[in-house]
Amino acid sequence: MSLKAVPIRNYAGFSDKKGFPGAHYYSQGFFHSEFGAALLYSIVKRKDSTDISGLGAVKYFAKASLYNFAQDDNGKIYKEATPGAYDFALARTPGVTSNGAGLLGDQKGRLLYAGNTDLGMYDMTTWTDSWKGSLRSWQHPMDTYEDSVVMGNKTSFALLASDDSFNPDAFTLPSSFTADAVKSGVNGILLGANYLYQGVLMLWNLTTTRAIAPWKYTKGQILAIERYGSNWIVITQREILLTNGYTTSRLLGLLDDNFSFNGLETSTISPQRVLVVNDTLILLNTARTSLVSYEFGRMKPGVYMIDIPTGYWSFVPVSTLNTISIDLYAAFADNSSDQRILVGYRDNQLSKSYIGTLSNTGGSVAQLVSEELGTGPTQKTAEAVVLNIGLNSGIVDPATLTFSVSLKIYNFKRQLWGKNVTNAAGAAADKIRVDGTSATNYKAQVGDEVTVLEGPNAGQIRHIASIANNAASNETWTLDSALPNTTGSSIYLNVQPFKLVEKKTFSSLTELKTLYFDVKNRVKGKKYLVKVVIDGVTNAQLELKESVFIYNDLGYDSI
Amino acid sequence: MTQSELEQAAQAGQIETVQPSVTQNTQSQDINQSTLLDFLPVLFGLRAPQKHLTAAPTFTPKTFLEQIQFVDTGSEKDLYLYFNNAWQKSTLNALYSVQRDHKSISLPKNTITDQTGTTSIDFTPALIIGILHNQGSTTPIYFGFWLNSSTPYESSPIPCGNRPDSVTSFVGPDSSEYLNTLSFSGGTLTYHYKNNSVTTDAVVELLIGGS
Repeated sequence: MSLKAVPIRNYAGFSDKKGFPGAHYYSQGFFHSEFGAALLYSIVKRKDSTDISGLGAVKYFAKASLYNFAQDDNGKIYKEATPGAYDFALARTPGVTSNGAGLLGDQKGRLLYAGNTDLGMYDMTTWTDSWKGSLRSWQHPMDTYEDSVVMGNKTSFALLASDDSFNPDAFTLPSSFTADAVKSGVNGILLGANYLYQGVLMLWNLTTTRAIAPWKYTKGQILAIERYGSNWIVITQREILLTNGYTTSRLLGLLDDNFSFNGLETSTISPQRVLVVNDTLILLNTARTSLVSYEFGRMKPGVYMIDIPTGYWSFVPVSTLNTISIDLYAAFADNSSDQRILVGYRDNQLSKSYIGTLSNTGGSVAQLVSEELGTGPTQKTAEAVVLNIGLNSGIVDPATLTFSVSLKIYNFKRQLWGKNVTNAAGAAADKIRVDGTSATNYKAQVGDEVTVLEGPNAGQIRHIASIANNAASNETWTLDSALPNTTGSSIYLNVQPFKLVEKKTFSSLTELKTLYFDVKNRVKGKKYLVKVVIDGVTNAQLELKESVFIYNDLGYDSI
Repeated sequence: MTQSELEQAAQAGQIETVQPSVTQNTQSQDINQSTLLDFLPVLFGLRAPQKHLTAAPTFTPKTFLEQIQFVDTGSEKDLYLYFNNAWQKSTLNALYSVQRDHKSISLPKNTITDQTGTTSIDFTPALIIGILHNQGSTTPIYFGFWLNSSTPYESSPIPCGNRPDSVTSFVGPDSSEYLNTLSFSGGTLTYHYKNNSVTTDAVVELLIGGS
């Protein structure tokens, strides 16, 4: 026996950069904490389209006169009755054509709301749907700049001056360009326009007729612009840029896509899909209009939180735990006393739209896949994992120590990510029906891990206990435990060759136990990933601390 | 490996702890730290020519460069400078710049018939003052005024001889000695002169002003 113990301690996040120091491979619901990675944040539903009949996908948020407003893709405007109470209700159905084209609280405490060709104004007394008309039909991203408001007007940027005079073509663009993003900052106001599949950044100061710095072209469309200190962060189809309006540098790329062949979704202009709070970039990754396999890997639809100074990524799914068919359009930092972060999204599988908040309570389910483990290219057997779990040191309120921990091993001998889709509803809650003849589906094996990506069972993780009708069109998997609901037809799944070592369940513990996992089947391999799945959590912010992976080094393969 | 087997192996010193070669990234970048990049707006402003405005500025400048604005309204070209909480205007294309020149025209003795002479002037003269004196003497004898395209000036108290009409006489006592009939065209001043004296050369000094 040549037993070796390697620490598992890369908890800062994952990364778009290969072999990034300190990065683990992937996680959902875990965030870098004081002593490791903990279940710190989740997206909590506040209102949905059941609570508010007719609520569409929220594309914009704004704050005006202490109240939060939301605008959906039908142009309807919702307002909090009590600031901070999340009690949104329909406030206005504009009498002009609108698919929700822009929303802004101006410097005078008024709400400006854009229809497709009209700019409306609500002064907290009267709604004027066509306050300023004759806009070109398009999205109208807006921002305040000093005492004025700058807004996109398709082939130009319009200017609403402090005396309410309106110039619809204050900054003109070439006729084929579209004005898709605008954000003020220290050096001026940064305008983002797109032409085919490239973008251009233009710095303006309102006083000149043209840009005050040379135009900067970007590869890929500009999707959104957000302030970051004295700089701006620009999300393009291909990458995330940092600019001061004069120079531009690449800040981040996309996961597992060096050349951004897949890129971010561009079909819906959503200028609020990025938000910076303190040093964290909150990026809403919306589902592609046409599903691509890329979304079944690490770059799933959901909320990415990226620590800008260090470059570590974290991921949090939306409240329905759907990570494949979810549209996310708007994130908004409410500057009320409780500093909330609002998120607007739509679950296309459940056909419901949501207003949620990023909450500082952990989710009920979380997973973390370690960094690559095992030194050298020798043959090994996985022997054990000593998992060190604690509680986030920052919590004060009482926590219930009820949860389950599953530990799994992957040995790099099969494809890590796989996708599949049900072709009929399961006969029972522990059954999954797939088309075993499909060449595009992952060929699952007994023991494989199955993650339901959408529907009522979204976020649930099980393992395949047995397979019936293998490779037939009615291939049926029996799971190692029943799901909360039967799984319907056309539900997308992740299938991965993580082998379950053990699942431990704890209920109302008085203190945490030692978590020793004996890898009884001695999984052979040269390198390993260890996956930890925590579920059934009520309110405990569990924290993964430095743990240990034990393996037996068998030496080099026989030559 | 069971927990007890692991514990036994650990007690027997059979477990080697392997430290991974990479540790956590501690090289975080403080993007918002003040650097030379903060001065790029100023440097860019210095590097490129400043564009002109088409109307008078009304904004309050935020940088030194913004304190200076060029305005071309189509009819006026103005320089605006912001100080003492207000824009100060100076119109550039209405400034009157005075130019001047001096010519010495010789009237040689024994010039008994009317002669025509020319001299070049590289601006349009508005006023010419002529002073006639004898060669070698600095004492003016006659003087006259010439106003371009204007009615000749005539004033008896001015001691300009008995022929104060600058067009016909300009300088000189009579038809025996004069420099007159000045005209200007295409950068050339044309004049007539005569000097019947058989003993004395004369000189006319022309002091020329214009724009």
